[in-house]
Amino acid sequence: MTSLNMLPPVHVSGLGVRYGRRHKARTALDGLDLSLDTGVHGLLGPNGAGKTTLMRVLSTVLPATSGAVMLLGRDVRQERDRREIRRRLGYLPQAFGSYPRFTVREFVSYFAWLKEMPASRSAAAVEQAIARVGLADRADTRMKELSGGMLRRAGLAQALVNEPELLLLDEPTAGLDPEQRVTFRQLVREIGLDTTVLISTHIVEDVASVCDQIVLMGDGRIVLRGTPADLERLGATVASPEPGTSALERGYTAALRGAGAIAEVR
Amino acid sequence: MSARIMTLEFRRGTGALLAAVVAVGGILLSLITWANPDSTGPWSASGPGILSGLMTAGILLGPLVAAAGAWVGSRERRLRVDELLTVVSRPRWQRDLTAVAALVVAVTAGLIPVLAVIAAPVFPALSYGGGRWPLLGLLALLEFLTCLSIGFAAGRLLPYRWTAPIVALVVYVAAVVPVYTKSSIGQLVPMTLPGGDGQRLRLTVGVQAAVWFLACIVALLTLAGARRRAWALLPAVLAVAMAVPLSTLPYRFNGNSYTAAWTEPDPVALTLVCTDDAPKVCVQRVHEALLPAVTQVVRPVLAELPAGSFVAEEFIVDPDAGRPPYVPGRATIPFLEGRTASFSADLRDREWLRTQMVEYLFTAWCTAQTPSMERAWNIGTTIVPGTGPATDPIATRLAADTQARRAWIAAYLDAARDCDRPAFDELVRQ
Repeated sequence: MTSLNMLPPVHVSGLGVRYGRRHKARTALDGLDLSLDTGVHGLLGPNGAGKTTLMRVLSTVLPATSGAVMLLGRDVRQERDRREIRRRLGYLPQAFGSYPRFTVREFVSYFAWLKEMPASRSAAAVEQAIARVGLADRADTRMKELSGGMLRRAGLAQALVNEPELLLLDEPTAGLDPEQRVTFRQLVREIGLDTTVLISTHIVEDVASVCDQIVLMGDGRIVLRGTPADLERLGATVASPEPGTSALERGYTAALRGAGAIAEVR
Repeated sequence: MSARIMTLEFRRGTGALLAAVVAVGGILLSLITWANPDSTGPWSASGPGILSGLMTAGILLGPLVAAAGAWVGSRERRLRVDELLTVVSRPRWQRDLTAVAALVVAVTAGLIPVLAVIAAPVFPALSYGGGRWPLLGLLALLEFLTCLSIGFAAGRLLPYRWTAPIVALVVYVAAVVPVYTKSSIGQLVPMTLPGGDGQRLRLTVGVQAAVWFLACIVALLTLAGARRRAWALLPAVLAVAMAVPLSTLPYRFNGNSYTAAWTEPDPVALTLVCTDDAPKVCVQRVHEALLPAVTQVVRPVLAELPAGSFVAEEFIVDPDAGRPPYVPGRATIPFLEGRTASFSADLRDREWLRTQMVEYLFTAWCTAQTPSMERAWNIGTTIVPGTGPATDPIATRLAADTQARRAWIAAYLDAARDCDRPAFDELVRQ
């Protein structure tokens, strides 16, 4: 029997999520098993593959229909455990709003309070989170005055403010310009040294440059697990029908088209 | 609860704006009342009077507060921050409590200047704190908190932009319709809570009302913010248990409040306060500030009344309506409620008070009125200096002859006391 302390930060077994009822029911995740250790993990897959559903389950927004979800050694089904998980969790959803009249500092500070950070550590943590996302010079700017990219960075700052042990980022680079994207990748690499980071993205370059591991999903299941290099190797074996595509992109497409590719990569 | 976060909610949320709107709206309403020469308003030189003025302002301020509650209650979904908030560890009720507390601070901060405007002009004349005014003050605060909770719950359950204005409209209609239709349900509406000179809240009814409002507030906030909405059932049942006896109380809406079942005479307020010099003029303690003005109006009338007649050395202003008890050497006239100028410690209309006093003084408490009695009454009410004009030939003659006038008045008062019809016939034959 596995001790809870021995479990990786993310341990999911037989995870199923279904939406709707009876004949309108749709399976979003189907018997999914997944374990993630410290490091940066990329979650890839086409639209409707179940990425966002998985992110929402892992962030405790959405309850599982079946299976077990253990995060940071705790069971998300237990109310007390869930509260402790949330204290140690950072989450940036794909789409989110903000309080337009709050300044960046107030917004992040409010989330530090919501995450029950001790008041003695809160002020310094807020400043650090804002600085890490490169918004120190905009700390007193109101949220409604921020550009889309800055708003996303402020969202990232709220996810980081409690120094999470598990960081879930859903499409974090959407809206960022190339320079911001480079900075973001550096930041995620740095965080991933001692934190479990799961990034859901469509942008394969992000995966290639920051992720240690990738999880490729299709139709609510995991199609492939490996490293970006594994995916690149798979892509190298496939002839490209489109000029200008990278080996990583070809590997991504190939893995989705044939389940046999998993065995091949392994 | 974090004071830092509450301050943030106040400054950046709806709090600061609500405080400003309540303050400006309340002061404007007060100024409109003040500018209207016909407005009587409740007597405001007493604690209950001041609070009653504040409560009446709630007819318009209550819906505004409810709208602010709805705006904040619907904020999470409207601003699409609900998903971010779902994954935070702090329980939702703590978050909601902070947001609501910021609004409570805003309402209180907004009401303070309104209270100051209502109270300041009469504060130097304040002679009577008012029986059970802390209970009335609690009810006044609960009035606004109830509106706030209604809005907050509505906003949380219907998180749309239009929820706030609709809630304001619904609260306004729900407050005024029972008043205009004179429904007993109006006794559950916070804006029509009782006030009145020399009256105090009945303790049992006041406590029931406080529990009714508190139970509503807890039920609504639980419905809005609790993890299990079924928990709202318990305070809801308590609210219903309080609402039933309150709404079935025998009531009489007096144009200002449901005073009949809710209030009782306050013995302290009814204590007499008299002038030191003769002829003695007395008013009740609740109207003590009016004593100089009343004395000025009353003494010329007293000068017309013969010593030893029905009315003698004391002229007492009594709030008991209906036929006064006959006490030799004492006259009773209707109470002074509504005779004061709004936002003032002075009489609203001295001439009007003089006329009313004289008319009351000359009222014959007889079962049937004869033409002679009516004519005598008309003569009597126009011959006292300061009244008039005298149109009856007898009145014209008496107005010019002080001695004859006073003799006629003495005879009239004797006839009125005994309902002596032949004496009345004699009075109009002179």
